[in-house]
Amino acid sequence: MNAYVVLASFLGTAVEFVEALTIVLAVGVVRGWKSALSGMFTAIAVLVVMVLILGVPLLQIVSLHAFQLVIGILMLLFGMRWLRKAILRYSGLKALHLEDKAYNEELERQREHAKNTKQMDWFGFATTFQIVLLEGVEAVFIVLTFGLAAKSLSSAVVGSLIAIVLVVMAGVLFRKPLAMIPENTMKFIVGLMLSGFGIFWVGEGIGVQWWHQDLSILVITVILLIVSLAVIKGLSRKSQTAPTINKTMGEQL
Amino acid sequence: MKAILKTAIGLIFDDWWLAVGLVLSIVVTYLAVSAGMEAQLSGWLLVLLCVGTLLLSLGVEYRKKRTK
Repeated sequence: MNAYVVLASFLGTAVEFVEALTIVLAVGVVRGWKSALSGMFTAIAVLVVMVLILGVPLLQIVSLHAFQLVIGILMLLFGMRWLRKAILRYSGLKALHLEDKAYNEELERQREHAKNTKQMDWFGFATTFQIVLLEGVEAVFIVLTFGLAAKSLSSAVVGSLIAIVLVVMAGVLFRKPLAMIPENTMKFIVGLMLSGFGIFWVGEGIGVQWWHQDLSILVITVILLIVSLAVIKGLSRKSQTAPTINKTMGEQL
Repeated sequence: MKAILKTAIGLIFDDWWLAVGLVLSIVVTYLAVSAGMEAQLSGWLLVLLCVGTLLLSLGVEYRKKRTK
């Protein structure tokens, strides 16, 4: 057993598992645990099958960049859509739909969804499936790279297993505190996170070299947060002064 | 797959500006990388373009609400 390989593999894969965990937890809270966990376990099953069938040649067969680009685009589409809706909601513009039939239908649908959180939500399933599959492939690449380079695959596997156990334990601990965050806030956070991850992966897929690698996800997410908060403030102020919007808001109240 | 397709199509019809803007942001960054732009700088270009797209989309939505 090579202690250096165990540590390197642990640190490398722990980053990937933590990234996957944040999305799984957030999606679980917002869209229900059944869909979030089903997506996660399906991705793990696909990953296990891929590793069992392809084994070490996986490194040559799977194009990580193509994988990152496709999943990155999907994450960006999902995330930006959520973020845009959350900003509109917080700035009061989304509330303009209150008198619309479509909004009432959506409200009813969401109420129904809240009642039946045990029902399968395919959006939640797809989101966690993608993130776990991508992070899992990256983790497998790390294990194989470290393991083969140091000629100690078992040490790399042990390192990643320790990482997975610790991350799962952290997930169990954080599950309840996360569930206490209001739903709209959580949707805003998920929108920010998915957009941040999406931009990062799209960049990786097209050959961008990110500043301090995965740390850039945090920087991108903070940039998006600052811009979003500034836009919410600006739009709220504007919609309070705009006569037509005020009129509509007044009618609602 | 159905959920992914629905969301992707939903995004395009829900907000045309956001969908087109994101696709353009990716294409422009890809072209910049291919043209030899510094790999780290092109990352921030992508962030800038995506943020710009979000602002454009929100601006269009605000104008729509204002003229209603």
